[in-house]
Amino acid sequence: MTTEPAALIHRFNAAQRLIHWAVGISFTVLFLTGLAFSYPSLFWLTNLLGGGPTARALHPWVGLVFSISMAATFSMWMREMSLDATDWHWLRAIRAYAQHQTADVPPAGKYNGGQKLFFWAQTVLGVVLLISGLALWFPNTVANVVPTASTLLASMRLVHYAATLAGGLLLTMHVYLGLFAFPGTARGMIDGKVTRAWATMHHSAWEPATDATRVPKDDDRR
Amino acid sequence: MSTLSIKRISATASPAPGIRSTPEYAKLVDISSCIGCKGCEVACKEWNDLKVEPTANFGSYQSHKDLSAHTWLLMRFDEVEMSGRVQWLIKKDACLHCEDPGCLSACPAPGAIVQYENGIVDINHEHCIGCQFCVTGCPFDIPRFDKETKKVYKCNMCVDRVEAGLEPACVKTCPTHAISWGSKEDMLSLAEHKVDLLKDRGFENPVTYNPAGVGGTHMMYVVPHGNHLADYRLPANPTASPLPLTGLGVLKRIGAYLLGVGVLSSLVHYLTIGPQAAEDLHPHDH
Amino acid sequence: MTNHWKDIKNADVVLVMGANPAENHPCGFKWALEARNTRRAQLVTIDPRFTRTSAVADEHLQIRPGSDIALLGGLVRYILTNNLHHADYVRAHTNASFIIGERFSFEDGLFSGFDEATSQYDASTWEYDRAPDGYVRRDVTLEHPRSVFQLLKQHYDRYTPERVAQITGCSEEDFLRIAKIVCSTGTADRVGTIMYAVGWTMHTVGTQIIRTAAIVQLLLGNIGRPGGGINALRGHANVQGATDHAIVAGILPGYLRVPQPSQTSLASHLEASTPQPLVRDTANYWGNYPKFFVSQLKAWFGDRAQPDNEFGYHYLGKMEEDATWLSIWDQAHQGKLEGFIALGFNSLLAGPNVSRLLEAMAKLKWKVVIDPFMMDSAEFWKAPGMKPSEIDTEVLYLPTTHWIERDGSFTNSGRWAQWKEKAIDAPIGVRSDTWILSELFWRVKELYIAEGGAYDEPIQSLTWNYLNPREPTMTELAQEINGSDLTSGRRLSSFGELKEDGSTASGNWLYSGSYPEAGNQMARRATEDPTGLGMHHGWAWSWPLNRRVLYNRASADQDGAPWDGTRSGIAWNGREWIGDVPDYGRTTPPGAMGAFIMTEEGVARLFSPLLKDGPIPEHYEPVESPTVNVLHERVPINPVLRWYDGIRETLAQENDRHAYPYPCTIYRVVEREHFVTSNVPYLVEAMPDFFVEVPEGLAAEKGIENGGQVRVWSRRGEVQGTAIVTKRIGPLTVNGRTVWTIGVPVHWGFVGITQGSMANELTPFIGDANTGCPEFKAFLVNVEAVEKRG
Repeated sequence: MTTEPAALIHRFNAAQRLIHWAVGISFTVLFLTGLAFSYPSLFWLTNLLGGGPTARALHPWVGLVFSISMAATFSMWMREMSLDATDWHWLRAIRAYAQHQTADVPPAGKYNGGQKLFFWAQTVLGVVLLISGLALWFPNTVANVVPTASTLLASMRLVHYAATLAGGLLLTMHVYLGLFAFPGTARGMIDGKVTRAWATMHHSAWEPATDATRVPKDDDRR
Repeated sequence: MSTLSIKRISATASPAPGIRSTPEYAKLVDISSCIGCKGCEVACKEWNDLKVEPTANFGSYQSHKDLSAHTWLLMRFDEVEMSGRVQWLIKKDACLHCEDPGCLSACPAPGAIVQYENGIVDINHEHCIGCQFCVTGCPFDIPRFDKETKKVYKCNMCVDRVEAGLEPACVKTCPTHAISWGSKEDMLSLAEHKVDLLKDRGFENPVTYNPAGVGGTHMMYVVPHGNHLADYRLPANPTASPLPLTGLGVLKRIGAYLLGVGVLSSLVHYLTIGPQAAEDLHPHDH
Repeated sequence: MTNHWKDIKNADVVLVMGANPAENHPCGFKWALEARNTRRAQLVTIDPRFTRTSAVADEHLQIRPGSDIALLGGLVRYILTNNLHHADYVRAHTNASFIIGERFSFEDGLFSGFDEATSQYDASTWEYDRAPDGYVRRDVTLEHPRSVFQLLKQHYDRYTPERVAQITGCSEEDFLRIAKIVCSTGTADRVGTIMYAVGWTMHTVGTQIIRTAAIVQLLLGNIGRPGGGINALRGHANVQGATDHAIVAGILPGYLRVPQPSQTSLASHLEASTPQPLVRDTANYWGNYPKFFVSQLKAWFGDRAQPDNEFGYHYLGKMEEDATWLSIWDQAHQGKLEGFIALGFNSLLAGPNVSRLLEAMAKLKWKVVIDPFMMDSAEFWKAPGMKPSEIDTEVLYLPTTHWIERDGSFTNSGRWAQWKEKAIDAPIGVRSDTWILSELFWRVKELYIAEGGAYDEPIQSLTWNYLNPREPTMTELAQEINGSDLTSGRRLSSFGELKEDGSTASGNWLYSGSYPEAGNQMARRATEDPTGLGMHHGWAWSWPLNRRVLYNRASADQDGAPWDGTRSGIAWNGREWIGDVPDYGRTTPPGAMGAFIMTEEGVARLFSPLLKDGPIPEHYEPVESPTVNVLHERVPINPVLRWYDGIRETLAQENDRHAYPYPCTIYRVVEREHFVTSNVPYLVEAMPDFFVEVPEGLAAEKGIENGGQVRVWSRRGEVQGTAIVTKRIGPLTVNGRTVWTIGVPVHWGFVGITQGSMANELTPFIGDANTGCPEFKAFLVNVEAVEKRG
């Protein structure tokens, strides 16, 4: 690696970026309307989606988009996201990472342990949200199948909310880290490129096959 | 009905606007005097101009299999044997207008469900968002969703009639006076009287159905065989706040804190530790 | 009703049998519940099914359709063997003490005087034993072996609980449990009422079922008393009014008689129709028959009714043929009837054996249907299986106003004539009944005037003095019915003012006083109730004379003291009777005459020589029965029935019992009112489809599923519908065999919002021996599960 630190290297291809934003935007919409449905004082947020009834009508459809995007996310990243010993080392140093004590942070590959955990967490939450969401979308169907539907559906509300809350917290962290805490990160999801310096700092064990001067290929993913 | 009479209002952080003091009404259904004529069922549809639904006999005197957005009151017919004798249980099924309405507390749409000072629980359809959480929240399985309008409907105790000083249409039409109407207090004492009468007539377990789990109801029943509530399709211990929903309420509060803490701690991190750009780390590499 | 709806609240025991008031009279039924709820009255139902009435009753007893007399006869025996009768009442107010002539006998199911050739009784063998003075001999000790009391005892001695159980199919214990309750009112301080309806009348022994009930009530001393009586529940809002105004064949308005061909003069008609007193102390009020009859002729023919033309007596048609329902349609079936005008009913669905009825209708040259709604009877040529191209009948349908679109009166079951006002306007082009009938009258009259013709006098002589003679108002008609003094023009205040010399006119003597000079009494709406017994003398008007309880003289003992002071019908205060309008002279002292002023005996008849099929009711099986008559195998059914040609062949024979093993009965449901409600969407929604009630045990045997389709067939036809498999009909053990009962509702046809099988496809073309009322309530069928049609 002797290229210039400022030189750009390719991190995410177009498909990955599209899927990321599909997940991101749909989740944000879901999260905000979900907040509106959960907190009377935030009900005005439904206006972002055309008012209460429309927001309510669109919410499950956006949920469907979210779920499909999540499925795509999963299939795209699944293989890269298995955690190994390196990742656990990294995770143990997460406090140092947060305090920018770079020297104390073990080197990470293309994805660090935090990102991998994030991936798995959102996968699990996605499944939970889908299942509970479907139940709440079709309560009559549930009632026709399950004898004590109202308790089940109330539980589904609880579960849906809990998963949303967890997702919301993850989203907050994700946005903060990506947009504010580590400048240069977000670019990876905009034009797909990051600087060599950024890569070195965050993913020193990552060995990208190419730099961004080349046309990216599918096997860029390492 | 006037907003001056609203005692509780769904999904609204501010207090309900009701300042009026109106008597609390109640309907009392004496099952032992009900002959299942469906007069109330038809009167309900007539007064509220609910549309005729195509029905088909399904092996019962019961007209519809279930309540619907267009049938707010259904006479249910069940044949059971109790200690060797056939009983034909005929029950008027409609909204019980709980004092502590599970539908209202489950509703996320501001103002979509209100409770008036007189005890009537009503849906304001222009505010209903069609989430059906009230359906889930109701311990009596009463509200019904309409697929066309995407709103939920149920008995409104003829709130328009009551406001004008009239009894609900079902009460008006009942030919055997099996449905009584008056102040909650009067109906409670009438119920007590009717229960005593049933005991006199040899019934062993007559009860007034006014379940405490929902704070009492504004449609109460006198049930001749109170030890067979399930046969009447009446839950023995209905509650306005089932465990999951109580949990949800608590979690929502915690959630609000957590989300706030999440955002705030990001801000604190940004201000104290600050961002870290890769370029800052490697200036000497140039 | 001897009493009235609200009076039922005064009862201690309410027996509902042959009726299902919760279903068919829900508004009036409230008073039975009122009695149950306020007096702790016991409400008992006896029925082939556990009905909606049973659902709120204290006790229910299931019996086999058509076994009512056995059950009631069992009650009579229970009363007499246990000495539960109200002895003072029976002695004072019934003919228990009357001695019957020696020619009377009853053996092996036949009373004396039976003529095998004509299948009729010679009722002269049932006459009372007369003393030389012409009056009936009596034995107040009731010990005389030929006293009515002893004959009754003897007759019903055969109706033991074992026998009752054997015939009706209930268990002995259940019978005794019910008997104990029902027969508990034979004391001065207790009163019981009986509510019945067409579940009794619509049998080949219908009249005798009601007679048996009357005997029970008389023995218990319950007739004439508030809270008592024998109460016929009428099937429509104004059936009582229609009956009072001669809807029944054989009577003129006010229960006057249609002249017979043999009565060739007014005098002979009056002589044959006016009863003579049988005892010295009877008011024998029917002795006034000539006043009622002549006044009626005056109302109809006015100035054309004069002494010299016998008040127009000859303008009246004489009844050569029986004109009851079955006879009419038998004539039509033989092609002897040219045309038929049906006003206010669905003639096709209302009669038995629809297939036969359809054959008969197709032979008519013309048929006129006058009704607010198009109906099956106007479209009979479109009925399933009919070939319109082969039917020549010209059918005219005249839309008319619904009762809600016109003024008028309803007379309810309790004889209360209640005036009502038009609620909404009729649709444009729809004419009232009065317009249609007036127009019919005028056009016939005009044809007579223009062209002449045979026997035009009745039409030419009919008075038609109305402000608008093409459409009289209901008020004019009501006033004409009330009647007036023709000399002064003053409207009468009572039928006591009627005269036989032609100086008074009254369309219906019973209604005299309903619209006097003081105004329309039927429109009164005062709610005061000084008696506290729900009599409400200021509310509407009840015949006769605003009397609320018939025979109320019997509510008091011989001295005029009420049997029960808390439920006093009338009471003698030394000068006059107070309370209800007395069924007795207002100032006639208690002992002066018998309590039952309408009878020539002056008392009520436990034994009645006036019926065609016997003076004491006897149990006969329905013409289709699952069992032999265990009382007398050789005379299984009512021996004096009228058999029309070809009818025996349409019945299940004794050797067919395996092919038609199940008794079936027909009834209404509360959601529907006969056939008219098939035009009302909300009511069709409430009870959409024709159904068949099948007992759970039979359904299991036959593989019939709840909600599945079943076919039910009799020798005459079949129906198909949704099965309601029910616990409410249990197995009966009839004469040692298990018998299952099937139930079928009547409301469906092929015109209306929903269509369904016509229940009367199944029913037999046979009627009551006295009234001709068809047997709708007990016949045999078979049943099987089928695939859904279409």
